[in-house]
Amino acid sequence: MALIVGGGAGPARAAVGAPGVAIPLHGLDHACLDARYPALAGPWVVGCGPEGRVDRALSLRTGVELRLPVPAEAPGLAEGLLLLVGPVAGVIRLDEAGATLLDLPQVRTPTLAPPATDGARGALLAEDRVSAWALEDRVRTTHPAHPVGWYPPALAGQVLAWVEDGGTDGEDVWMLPLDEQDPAPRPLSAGPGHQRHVVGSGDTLAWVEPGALVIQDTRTGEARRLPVDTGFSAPPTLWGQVACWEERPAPGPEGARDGVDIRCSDGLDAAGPGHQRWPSRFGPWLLYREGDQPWLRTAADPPDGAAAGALAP
Amino acid sequence: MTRATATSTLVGLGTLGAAGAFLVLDPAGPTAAAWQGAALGGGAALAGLLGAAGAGGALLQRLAPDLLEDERGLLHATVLGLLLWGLLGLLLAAPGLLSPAVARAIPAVLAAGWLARPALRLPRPPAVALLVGAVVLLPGLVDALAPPVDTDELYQHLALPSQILAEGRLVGGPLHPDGSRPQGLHLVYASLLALGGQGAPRLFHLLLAALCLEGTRLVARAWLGRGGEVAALLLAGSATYLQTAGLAANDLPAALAALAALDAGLRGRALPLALAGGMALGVKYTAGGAVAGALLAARLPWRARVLAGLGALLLVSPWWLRNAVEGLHPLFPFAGWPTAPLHPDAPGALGLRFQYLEKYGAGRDLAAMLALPWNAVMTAQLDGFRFLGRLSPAFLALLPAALLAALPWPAPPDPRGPLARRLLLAALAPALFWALGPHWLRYLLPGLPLLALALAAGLPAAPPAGPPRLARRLVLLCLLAGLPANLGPQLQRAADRLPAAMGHEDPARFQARLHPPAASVAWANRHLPPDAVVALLFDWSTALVDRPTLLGSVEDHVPARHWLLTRGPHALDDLRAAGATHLLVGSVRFLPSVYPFLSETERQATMQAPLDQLEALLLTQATLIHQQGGTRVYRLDPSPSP
Repeated sequence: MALIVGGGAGPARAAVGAPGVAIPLHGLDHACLDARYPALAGPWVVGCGPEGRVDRALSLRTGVELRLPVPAEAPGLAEGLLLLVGPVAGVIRLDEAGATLLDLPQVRTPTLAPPATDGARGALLAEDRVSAWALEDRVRTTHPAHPVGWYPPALAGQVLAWVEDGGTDGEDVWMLPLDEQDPAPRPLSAGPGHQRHVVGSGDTLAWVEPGALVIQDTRTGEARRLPVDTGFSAPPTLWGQVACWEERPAPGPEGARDGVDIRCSDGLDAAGPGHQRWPSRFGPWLLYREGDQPWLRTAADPPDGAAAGALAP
Repeated sequence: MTRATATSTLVGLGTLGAAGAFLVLDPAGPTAAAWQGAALGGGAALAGLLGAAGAGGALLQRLAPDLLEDERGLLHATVLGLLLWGLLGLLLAAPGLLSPAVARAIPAVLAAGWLARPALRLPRPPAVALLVGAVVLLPGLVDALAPPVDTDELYQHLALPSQILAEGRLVGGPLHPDGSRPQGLHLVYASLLALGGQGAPRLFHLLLAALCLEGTRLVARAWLGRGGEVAALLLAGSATYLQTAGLAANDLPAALAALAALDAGLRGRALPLALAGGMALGVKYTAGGAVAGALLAARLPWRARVLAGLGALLLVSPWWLRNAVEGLHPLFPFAGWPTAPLHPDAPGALGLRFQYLEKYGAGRDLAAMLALPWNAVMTAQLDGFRFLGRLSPAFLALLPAALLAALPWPAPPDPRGPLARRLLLAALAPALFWALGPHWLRYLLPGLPLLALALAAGLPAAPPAGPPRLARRLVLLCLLAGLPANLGPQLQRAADRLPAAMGHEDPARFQARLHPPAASVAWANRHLPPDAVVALLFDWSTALVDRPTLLGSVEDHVPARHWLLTRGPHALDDLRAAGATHLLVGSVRFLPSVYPFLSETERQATMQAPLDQLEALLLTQATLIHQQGGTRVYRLDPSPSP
């Protein structure tokens, strides 16, 4: 394994943002090739350079800016960590002192979507199979499946979940229990309509169903359905049991509609004139975009991700 | 059997066997699938040419048997056969009877013309002509065997034939605007597509490109003597001629027909001139200048020329009539886009232009027009709005001599002066026609053989020695000087596409590499419901989508912009009502630097506003289900309850 150290850290500044305030993040406003970025990797914002590839990171805690040792089009993100698969495969760890790349074995198989990582494991989707592995392992276990491309897989607790092509029935969400001896993929949310956009954080999974956002604790199987109309553009974002999502306002009195807004299950939101889109949530921070401009809203009160599940949407 | 015969037979069998075995067994050679595709496409292309030549030959045998008397017969027979093919296709497609099985049968029906035993003499080009032709058309062969990625093929020349086959009838109107152009050649391509897959129309076009080169050589030799054959070299040395040779396209077939029209006119045959002229116009309206040139140069009384011109127009008129019956302007989509808003809250398309002539070439003021020959040859870019092509510098080098040869001065006048004048007249018409239109060199292609012939007519006669002979050698030197810039890019492109043509590069990966939206289309083909109908907005991947499609557009994206401008907030509702279930949305930017001739207000109103309108509608009426690069796939949301 090779260790490559990325570009040196920029001058340290103060923490980014302030409680109860939304600020634009300049320097991260290059449009990314994959619209799901910029996004939060824990307390870091990772964003793109002029080429549209993810190549920089900004620490929200200290204001330190980093250049990544290698750019990536669509890395998997976890707290302070990026997972790259493909011809250049590796794990980039973000630290105020710099970014370091730890090489992983190449993934020669074309992947269908960005990989997922929870910081300890990785997961990827390929044609007719899914794969999950511990990051330090050099062998990846694969399981037969028919994932739909573009939707990344999700890791939560001991569960790998992904969006499966349900044929004429629309997409379904499937899962694989990673703690079983000989696990077999099975549907997590199937049936008529489109079940998709599955995301994971800690032990929690969330996905979009027709007319609802479902949040499930993978340890207990307990699930909550939030009756929201989302999933029309960006996936929801999950931090612990706190979910944030894009929401289309109801049609106005004469069919007029306001812009898209972002709501979170703990009450944080991003609303206002224009469209607020592509939410990404970690702790008190909600990253979103208006046009190509990333904005950061910081919660007025430090939230509790685990307890936030109990909050009303 | 003599010893010499036996040896020759042995050498013949040995060389063919070794070459064949090497190609088949070489691991870097074509894969089995590539062989199969080439054989199927090549077989269909040859069958098509055989059918067209048979039918055309049989008809010429009755109408103008003298046109079959020498090697030019194949040129005339093929052009006439293509006209018949297109008309037969129209007769079948109009009532919705052009199923793939019927389309496949058309070449066989046409081939029945051989039963009339037309006295067709096949061309027998000399070895050097064969060698030159093989070298310059080899990149075209690679193009023809590689998966399609060319813009015009994807949105038009392969897309429309596929749609015609799928529907069994012609498509057209605002949802398929390109289908409202004359479709004679696309009906030919539909047959070939049904017969031999996507390689067939492209290999057929390659055969037509070769025939046009050989036809130019034969016509030049017939009228200008052996020295005139340099006209074919002018074409062979020009990237604009070569770059579409192995693609399903329409400029070269139009050129072939215009060449046949010129030759028929020079031979004083009005009816074949009218038929070939009609064929050229029916393939592409930009052949209008070349057809006018052929009429002007014809050795016919004025009355006969006018009648021939009317006859040519008569052959195109079914397409105008079709548009009129469908409530469209006869020349739609080149004219007649309704600008009025279709809903009270839509802005309307006032100010929308089908084409911005100012975008192309090197300017349109008097100075730019006077410098056009120089600029078009010396400053053209192969991949830019500046003429989008390249010609051999010999086109420019021979211009003064061609003008001089046409003058009755200096005394004694050149005895070939009248012919040179006729040919110059034939060439000036398409050149002026082109100068008035978009300055893209490929729009000059229909008249390019005529231009090459006129320039070759300026060359001095070929005595065994002396200054004229030296002048001819210098022309060859000029042609050679132009080769790196003209043939080089073709070879470079062929090298890039060769692995895909041989089956060693995955077709999907190849297409996504050279046409990035293909990755999203591949996803859509795999995951969309079988009954999905995909509307393409600001994208031109029509031929790659294996579901029924609506709209699709290139460059200025007139169809998509028109749809959005005239329908405003109801644009997606109306697409849903038209049957669309999904959208493929491309990423475009109408930059001020590309449209400097538009005021900011005009650009905002006619170009940026529809883009903004679409983005707003997508957020409220559609669901993003895939995105790769700049291409997005949406599922249209169910219509809200009234």
